[in-house]
Order: sequence, then C-alpha cells, then structure tokens
Amino acid sequence: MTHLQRSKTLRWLCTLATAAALVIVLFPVYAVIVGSFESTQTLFSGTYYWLPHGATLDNYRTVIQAQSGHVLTSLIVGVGTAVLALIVAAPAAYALAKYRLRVTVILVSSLLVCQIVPSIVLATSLFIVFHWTHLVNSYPGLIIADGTYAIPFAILVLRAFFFSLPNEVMQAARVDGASEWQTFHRIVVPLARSAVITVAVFAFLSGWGDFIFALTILSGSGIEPITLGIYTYLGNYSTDWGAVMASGVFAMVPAGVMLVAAQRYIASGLTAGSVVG
Amino acid sequence: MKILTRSRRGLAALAAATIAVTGLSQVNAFAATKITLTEEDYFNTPGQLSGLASYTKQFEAAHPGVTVKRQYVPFANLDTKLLTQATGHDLPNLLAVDNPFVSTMISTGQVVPMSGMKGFSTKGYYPAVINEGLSNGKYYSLPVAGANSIALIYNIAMLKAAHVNPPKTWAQLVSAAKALTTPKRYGIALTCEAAEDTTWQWEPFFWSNGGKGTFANVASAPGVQALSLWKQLVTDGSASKACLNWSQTPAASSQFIAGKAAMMVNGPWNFPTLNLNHMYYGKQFGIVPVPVRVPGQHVVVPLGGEDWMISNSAGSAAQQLAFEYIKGMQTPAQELKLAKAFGYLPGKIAVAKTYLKQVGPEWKVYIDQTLYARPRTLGLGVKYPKISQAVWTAIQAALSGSQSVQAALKTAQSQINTILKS
Repeated sequence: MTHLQRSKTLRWLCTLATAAALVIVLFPVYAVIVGSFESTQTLFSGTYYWLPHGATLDNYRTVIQAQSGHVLTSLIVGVGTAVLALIVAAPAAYALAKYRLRVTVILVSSLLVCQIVPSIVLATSLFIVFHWTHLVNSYPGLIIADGTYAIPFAILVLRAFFFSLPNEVMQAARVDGASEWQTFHRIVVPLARSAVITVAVFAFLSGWGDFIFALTILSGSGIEPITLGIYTYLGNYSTDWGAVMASGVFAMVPAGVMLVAAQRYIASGLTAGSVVG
Repeated sequence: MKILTRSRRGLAALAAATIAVTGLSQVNAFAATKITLTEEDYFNTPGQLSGLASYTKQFEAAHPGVTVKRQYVPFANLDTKLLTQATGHDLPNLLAVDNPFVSTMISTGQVVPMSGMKGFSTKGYYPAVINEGLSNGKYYSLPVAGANSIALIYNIAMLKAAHVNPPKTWAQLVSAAKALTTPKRYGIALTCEAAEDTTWQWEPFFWSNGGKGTFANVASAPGVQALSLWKQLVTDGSASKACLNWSQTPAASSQFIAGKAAMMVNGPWNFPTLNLNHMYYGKQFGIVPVPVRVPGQHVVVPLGGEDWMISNSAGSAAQQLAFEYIKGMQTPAQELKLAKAFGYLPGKIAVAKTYLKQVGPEWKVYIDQTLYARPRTLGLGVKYPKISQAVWTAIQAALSGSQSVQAALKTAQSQINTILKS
C-alpha cells in the first residue's frame, strides 16, 4: 500500500466514524422534531414513525402562544450570563495567566473544584443567601447563579488562551505608553476575540439551558425561562408530550442560530491555548 | 496586582448596583397596602386550572384588597422546591402538595396546624381524606379538590367479543387478560415505571390481599402472591413488558385509548381524555373494582389527591387569611364544583353521594371504595417515599426478570425493615 492510498483509506474511515457519531448525536434531535408534529396519542401508539404520522401543527399552536415570553426570558438570562461571565472572567483570566501571584495555583484549582459541586447543592445554599440579599425572584439573582458555572469555565478557557499570547505584544504596548488597563482592553481582548466569543457562547448556553437554578430561585415573579416553561406540559395527571417536543424545537432555534453564527470562532477559540502547556 | 484591585472594585460596583435595584423593588412592596397571598401547586390540566382560577376570583371578590398569586411548579420538582424554600424560611403562604408529601412538610416545622384556626372542622370527611394531615393529634391539611383512587377500566366491545366478563378475582383477571390478548393488543396495560405510581398501582393488589399498610409483610404471602400475579400477566404475554417504562397516565392510558390494551387500572382523571377520544362510560368502557385474590376480600385502594397546607412564613393574620381561602373550598357547593373540574371525588361522604347523582354512574366504583381507602403515609409519615421506592424497585426487578419474585421482595423487605426501624 502506498502512502497515498493509506491516507485515503484513513480519510474514509474518519469520515465514516464522524458520520456515525453524527447520527448518534443528531438522532434524538430528529426524534424530537418528528414528535413535535404528532399528537400524544400517536407518540404512544407503540409504532415509531420515521416521518410525522398524521402531522399536526396543534403542538406549535399551543406552544408558540404560551412559550414566546419564556424564550425572551431565556434570552435575557443567557445574554446576561454571557456578559457577567466576560466582565468577571476576562480580567481574572488575564491576571492568572500573566502575573505571578502566590495564590495562582490555589485559585486555578479551586476554579476546577467549583465545577465538581452538583448544581442542586449550590442551588439550595444560593437560595438561602439570595433570600437574605433579596436576590430571589430577580434577573440579577438568576444571572449570578448561572454565573457560578459559566465564570470558572470561562476563566480556565481564557487563561489558556492568554498564556499563548507572546509577552512581547504587551511589552510593546507598554513601551508605547499604554497603561495596564489599556493594554488589556485595547490589545489583549481584541487579540483573544475567538476565545472571548467561545466563552461568551458557552456562558450563554449555561444560562439558556439552566433549569435547577431557575426552579429554585424563581417563584411567583412572572420571570420564567423556557426550561421551566416546558414543564408546564409535564404533570401528575396528564402529560402533553407533543407540546413538550414542540417546546423543545422552539427552544432550540435561537440557540441553534447563535451557535451556527459563532461556529467559526468556537473551533479556533477552543484549540487556541492548546499548544501551550 | 493592579488589575486584580480594579476588577475587585468593579465587582463591588456591580454588587452595589444589584443591591440598589433590588432595594428599590423592596420599597415598592412595602408601599402597597394590599395583602398578597402566595400559592404554589403543580396543577396543569385545563379543568384544574380553570377550577382553581374561578375559585380564586370569587375569593378575591369576597375579600377586597387580597390578591392570591399562584405559582406553578412542575410536578416532578415541587417537593424539592418546597424543601429548599423551607430551608430558607421562605415558603409560600399556601401550598398544595401531593398527599404522600404532607408528612414530610409537617416534619420541616415550617407549616402550621389548622386545627387551632377559627372555623376548622373535621366533620363529614372520609377518614382516609382527613387523616392525611394528622400528626401528633393536630390536623395540618385539608383537601384541595377531594381525592382520587384507581379501579379496573375495561373496553366493553373487546370483552364482549372475547366472551369474558369483567374480572372479579385474580384467577379471572389472568384468564380474561389471556383471552383478550391478540397479536395486535395486550389484555391489560400495567404501570411499572421506576416511580411512585407503580407502587400506587400495586397497593390495591397487595393491601386487599392482607398486605400491611406499612409494607412490613411485603415478602410474605400477601406480597409474593400479589407480585406473582403481575409477573404471570407479563410471562403469559397478556401484559406488555414495555410497562417497565410506562406511567399510568398518559403511557398506560394511551395504550387503552388506542385499543392496544383491553383493560387498565386507572383513575377518574382519565374521563375527560377518554370522552375526548369518543369513549364513554357504559358504551365503550366499563369500570369494576380492582380484582381481589379470593371472593369476599375488601378492596383497599390508596387515596390520591392534593392537600392544602399553610406555612408560617407570614404572621398569624396572613395565616388565618390563607385558612379562609382553604375553608371556602370546603363548602358542599365548592366541593362539588372543584371535584367536577379536577375529576376528583369530594372529600366528604354526604357530598360524595350528591356528587354521584350529578356526575353519573362512572363514579360509583370510585366513591364506594373510598370508605375502605387508605392514605399512603398513614403510620409511615416521612418514611413512605423511601418504602415506596423499595417496593417499585422490587416490582421492576421481578418483572424484568433480573430477580425472582421472592428474591426481589426479600431485598425490599430488608430495606423496608431498616427504614421502619430508623
């Protein structure tokens, strides 16, 4: 086998593996989309239909009317989480990457530890703290709660990227008379664009997809994200699976659009810091 | 280091800003002179929603200045949420909980007894209904819209075509289910998912057969016989093995409605959906009590439904007002109205009799058996959910074939003994 042939076979194998992975990952999404056009009776008929059987738009009629407000709430929470994560994480990551602090090791490992704690444990204690500080039932409360996951992750990713920036860039800026803050937000942040976008997207998604914090922190304030909204259809005496599926699809659209738009940056953002140890 | 200080300053500013914002909303709340009662529940069917909303409207009209603010919490999460709120001493004024959870709420110490409140009375209720909230001689709860239970619902045409009568005993149930099974349908749709409704479905079989309310004898004859019955239905092919994933509603009920099962054990909350699918009592479906092992045994069903509780998060005036809200629902007229909207049985014996005349014969079996019904937490309190889990785990193990009926129940028994002793 020549070298060319071998690389060709390898490429085929890779494509095949990717295709298989894609099928596994996308099948649930496909099933949700098909289900969203079917009635609950059809869903439980015991036969799986590859294309919607007795297709109906009823589910969407129910859902779009009831859930549009919730999607808006989720957008606010998602964007809020992304902004908060960037405001806190970008300077923190920069400091942890570029300054030799005594506590760096402790700080970085505690950031990792933060992500081990299950959110339900955090939610309960946050509820008590927020109750004292009157943050329950508010957007800021929910956004800060969602930040507990988004921020540590953002710091770790951004720190890896800032490591890879050559120190000479910053030194040059300083020679030109830039203050540290100016160097950071005029030079470093623009250079880190793809990492910043990656982090923002992941922070957005953690706010967008959060259920536990929203459930714990919100009650009776009229603020209700789509993740809670979906549960309107899951009850003790009746469950409208068709509507659950349609809400799922409805909730996928904005996040999906954003991910596709940011895709280019995400790939480079995630790999950016990887060459530096 | 400079950067760190700056970002810290930024954080401080952010914190100050949020406190300022929330502080403002606080002022607004105090400026208002009206009283708001907060309420949490998991009701989501159209009947439940409209029934509750119309009562609230009526209550608000009768109490000027009072607003009742309802918060829906998903069924699967209400218990967790209430416990979290109890930890923070921030429960809503009114809470509607599933009756097995009443004892747990009492144990938090954050709910107040109703027995001491002005106008409280236990008169006329079914013992099983009123005793759900009984703890240390005090009553902590009253029913929301009454109670519910389960019975055997069967497809009249299918039974006629197979020449079988509605089963009264287990032997008849086994042979009827077999006769009703065709390549296109099963004789009966069982519910055996890993959840409370599986234990709840099995309880009438176990309890009617001499099983103890505390499940202390689950691995003895009553339990072994009851679980062997279910096992036989599955091994005969009369019940689908897929039941390991089925909830009673909508999974098992959808099988029945779609004609894929000739019988199911289920409750009156299915009537609206059945009617919607052109199935009516006496024409398309009939109802008999859950079959017993030998003729003459009493059918003991578990009692379902939700109960109101009042939290101590507000002062006594608000607590009394919350009680007024609940009390207003306990008049015969309101009971009838709400039971109809919810698809429940009224909680009082006399009202249930009137109800039967108004709503029709499909309720008869459910109403008759309520006298022998049992609240699930009676004598168990907060231990019930754990015991229930041991039971449904055993049911799943036996039906999936991973353990024999005896072995599965023995495992459950040793877990239950530990729980009962604790």
